[in-house]
Amino acid sequence: MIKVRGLRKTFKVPEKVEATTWPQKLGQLFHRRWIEVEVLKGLDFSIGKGEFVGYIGANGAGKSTTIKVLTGILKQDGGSVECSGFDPYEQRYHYSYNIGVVFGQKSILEYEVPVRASFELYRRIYEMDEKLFQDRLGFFNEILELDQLLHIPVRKLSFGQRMRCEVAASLLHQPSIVFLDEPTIGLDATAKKEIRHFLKTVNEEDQTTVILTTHDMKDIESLCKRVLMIDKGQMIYDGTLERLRHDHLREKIISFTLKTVKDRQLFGELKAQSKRSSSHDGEEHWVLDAENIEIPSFIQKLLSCTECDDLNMHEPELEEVVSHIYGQGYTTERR
Amino acid sequence: MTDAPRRTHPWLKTLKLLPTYGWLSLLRTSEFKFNFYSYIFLYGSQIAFYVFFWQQVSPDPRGGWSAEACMLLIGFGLISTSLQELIWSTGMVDQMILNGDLMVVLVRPENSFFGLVLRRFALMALFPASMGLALVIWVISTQDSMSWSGLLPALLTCTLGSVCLRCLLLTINSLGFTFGRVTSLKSVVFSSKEFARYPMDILGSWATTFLCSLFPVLLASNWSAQMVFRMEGLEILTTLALAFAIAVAWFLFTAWFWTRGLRKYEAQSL
Repeated sequence: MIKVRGLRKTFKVPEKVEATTWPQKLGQLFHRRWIEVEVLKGLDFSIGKGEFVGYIGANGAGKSTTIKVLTGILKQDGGSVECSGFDPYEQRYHYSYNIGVVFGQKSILEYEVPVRASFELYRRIYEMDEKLFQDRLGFFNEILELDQLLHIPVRKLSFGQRMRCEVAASLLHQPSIVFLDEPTIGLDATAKKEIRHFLKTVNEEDQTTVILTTHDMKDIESLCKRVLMIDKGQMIYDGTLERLRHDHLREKIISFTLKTVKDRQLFGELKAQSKRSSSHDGEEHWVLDAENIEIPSFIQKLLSCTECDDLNMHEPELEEVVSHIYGQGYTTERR
Repeated sequence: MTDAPRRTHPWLKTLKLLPTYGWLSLLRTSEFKFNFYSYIFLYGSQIAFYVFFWQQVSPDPRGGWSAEACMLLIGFGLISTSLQELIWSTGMVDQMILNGDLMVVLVRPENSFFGLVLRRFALMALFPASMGLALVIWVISTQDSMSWSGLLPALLTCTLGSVCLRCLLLTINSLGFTFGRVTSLKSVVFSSKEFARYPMDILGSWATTFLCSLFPVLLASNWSAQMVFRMEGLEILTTLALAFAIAVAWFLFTAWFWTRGLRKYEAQSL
């Protein structure tokens, strides 16, 4: 469905030169030096039909540029891109019948007219027949409850309502690939949940390939089985979400309510083995390094030296994993 | 790579979409009714002023242009301005390149340029066009010396001239792909349109040539007015053919320049 080989893209940006004197500052107004910045440094990946893939990376990593190349907005400087059998840039017109795009921060709807009018425009742009259009609208109504919004001008919708309509508009023509750029940015928890549910349903029912770019790791956790992570223009991870967690952060967090300590010495020894710990009103939270500690025997020892309630163990949030990788780099060898 | 399936050609699609964009334009207008009435008042008073003003000037022709001929010039000027206003956002294309509107158009199956300007399609502009047409018809019907046979070619020439002016403006806007904002340069074109308000015979020959080709501001109104009050038969046909050739040349150059600009497009941060 999507095949990317050695994708490269370079932008020219003005060189930052520190001007100290007035003649230098004036000179900079009229003469700028440009430098080339390689934003994408030979990306390789493939995405199959019906996959729901999270495409993540820190700001400036090259996510948006990749999406712009994949949607045919930008032409790549090197490498090859093939989506649904098309070259996105050279065959932009025909290719765009097959894709849907949601820009979280750029509306694709007509601002001053009712939502239905925008949908009608899209129906004609994508040359949909009336029956398919009505069927799709009916299907979307069931999940997103669009009925009550269709007659309202876009400018009068709340942000959450607008995003529901934006996502619906981008999927009306039953595209085979959908690119979502921050589709839940700025939405409240309920609206996020609705949009996620809708995307999941469309992905499953239509076998739509979805590429989701977001900084919201809850979106990724609830929708994507596979994650592509990019850093400084290079792919640093391509695999499942579970493996990302497992490979990178081998920490486990155990929490329990301490009632009595039967063996203070052992309890002290165990606590000393944790990487970090906190205690508050008998509530204990210990962070363990799973690479160096055998967790089952650790818990057995803990239970033998204490009486405790509500013992539970969990992994760090994906948010923590990812921010750790952004900060430290992806250290586990890529598979 | 896949052979593209049969779909409507982008330019044909644009024509097919025109009624939809027209309908959207009417919906937009009906959303802001006060603006609609102000618009009618503005053009109504403008026409009233022209009629009043030109009835006060001397009836003696100057440089071959009588007061009535000047009224024709105004009439065709109005039609031309309106035709350009129909796609008024051509004047804002550099802004639309900068603010990311172009990205929205590029990801849907439309001709990139027409898709962009038609987002601001203003069907209301047909109102002053019809007022201009009424003015032209009124002048011809009251003057025995003027010919009805020149009206259709004159309207065609007016349309071709308007296309040339939009092409000129779009070419300048396409510089926005390289230079970002080109507002000042566009002001030069807008100010050159002043020449279209005056009879072209007051200009020297080099200025006339320049303002009919590279800065085609005289094509739309001056040539059209002359077709009605001065030209006949073969001269009308020759002028029409020349206007057509200039319009085609401008259109092809502009389309090439736009496509070339698109390759430099760096898009906006998402």
